[in-house]
Amino acid sequence: MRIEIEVPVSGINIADFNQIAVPAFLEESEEGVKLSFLGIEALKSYQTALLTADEETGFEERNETRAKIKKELKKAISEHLSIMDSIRTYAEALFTFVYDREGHREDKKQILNNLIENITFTENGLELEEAVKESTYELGPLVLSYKLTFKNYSFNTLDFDFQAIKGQLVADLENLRDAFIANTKKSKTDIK
Amino acid sequence: MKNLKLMFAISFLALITSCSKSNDEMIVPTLPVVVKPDPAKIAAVYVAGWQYNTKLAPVATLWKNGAATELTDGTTNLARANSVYVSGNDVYVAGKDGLKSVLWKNGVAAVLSDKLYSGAYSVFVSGTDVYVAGSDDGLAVIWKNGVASKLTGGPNFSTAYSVYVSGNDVYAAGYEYMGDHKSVATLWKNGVATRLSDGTKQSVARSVFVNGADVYVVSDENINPEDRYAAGNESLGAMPVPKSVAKIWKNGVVDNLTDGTKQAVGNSVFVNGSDIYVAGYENDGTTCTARLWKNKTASALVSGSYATAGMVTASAVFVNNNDVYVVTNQGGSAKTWKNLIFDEEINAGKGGATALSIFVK
Repeated sequence: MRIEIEVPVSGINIADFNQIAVPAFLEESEEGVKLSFLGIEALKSYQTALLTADEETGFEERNETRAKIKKELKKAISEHLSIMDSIRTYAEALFTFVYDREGHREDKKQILNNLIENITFTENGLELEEAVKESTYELGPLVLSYKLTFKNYSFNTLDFDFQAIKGQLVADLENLRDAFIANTKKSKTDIK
Repeated sequence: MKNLKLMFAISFLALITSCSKSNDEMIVPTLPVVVKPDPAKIAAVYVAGWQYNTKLAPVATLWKNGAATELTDGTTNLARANSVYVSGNDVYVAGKDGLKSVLWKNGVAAVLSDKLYSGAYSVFVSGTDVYVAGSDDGLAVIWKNGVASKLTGGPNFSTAYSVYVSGNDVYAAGYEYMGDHKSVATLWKNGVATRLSDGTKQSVARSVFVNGADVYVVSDENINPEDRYAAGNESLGAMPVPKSVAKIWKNGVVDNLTDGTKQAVGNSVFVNGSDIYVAGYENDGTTCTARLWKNKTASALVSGSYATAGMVTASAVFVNNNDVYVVTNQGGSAKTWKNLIFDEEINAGKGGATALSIFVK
């Protein structure tokens, strides 16, 4: 979700990359080397290249540089996963807000579908926030019961990829909706 | 020291003498005749786009021959100058400042809409009338002198990305969303829609140009019906990138610019005489290349690693006095090109910029 993911790796230098896969961008730093990736996919792709090289060379040929880099890549992936978590938490809060209100289930489903579509067409965090309010106004003031870190990411267009954050939020909302619909159908079948 | 001075004087005399054909025929060095340039003949290059200010907030900006005029104050997290048009001494820019869709005339802002899902993407001046294409309240719209006319009745989302006025006819290019991650490339003539795709895949019309009686539209269509995003709308660095075909339409007849093996998008079309220019890009997921197509023949302007620089694209093309101008973006580096030769980097060394439109006069 970060636009540019920087991965500092201490204790190695540029020359070490003569023997291993070279990332898209790297530069020397005071501590060692700084790797940069444009988006998580580029980082994962590089991680795969290192893992493949590990497998090919076998355990006896363990490369210390690769090991140091993989450790730092894991930290970056861990941060990415925590951002994913915050998006998922926000999606769950929205979903709960919609489905915990009183009203007909089909009406709430329609509100959720509108919410998903309206979010899809937003271009920044402010628009997304407005879209959520506008899509749920029938349910009363939008009150989410706990503090959410989602806004820290969706409003920070300098560091974070809004399209990716929005896409993940939409996917999470769709998954929650589909799971709910599937469970409801299952319950009805069970009763029969 | 005296000896040195004497030697210098003798050498100087010898040099003058040697330059003479004869004693009475002195050669006077002829200087080239200096013709003062006629200021009226120097093209002014206007570029619309955005840059980050010193506080790293986006600012909609207009550049005239590289000199920047900031149109917004950097207090919103989205600011764009999407399109520029020059008519007489007046410079019009359409764009966005936060939630507001704005038309600037000579730097003075008029808010066209402050509704959610609004945008001002293209400006065109015909006589004394100013037209802006965009979306208002989620629906494609043309503002004529600030008054909005919706191009669709909804309820589906739609957007007009480009407007061109020829005589009394107003053309707009854009899309209508059909639901289920499908959008239809659409051309509107005086508010009447013509669909340029069948709605089975993501497809967007991005630019329209009229040359005499001929109407040209550039659009793109995804290859895979399952794609969630139209070409170029996917997340940064998403792999694989959705593949698409860039298309050029002339009076409703389509011709493909690319073969569908990469992601290809045409952002802008300009017709000069019998020559059709399209600015856009191709991205195979590894290398992204800003392209200018002239009569379907592609030229590469600038290329970059997709993983390193992200999207590399030619945003707009404009022809003035047979000179072809293009703006490209690569990472934070926006460049102008003249006849396929690199001309200038915008805001170079000061944080870069993103260029979205060019007008030359």
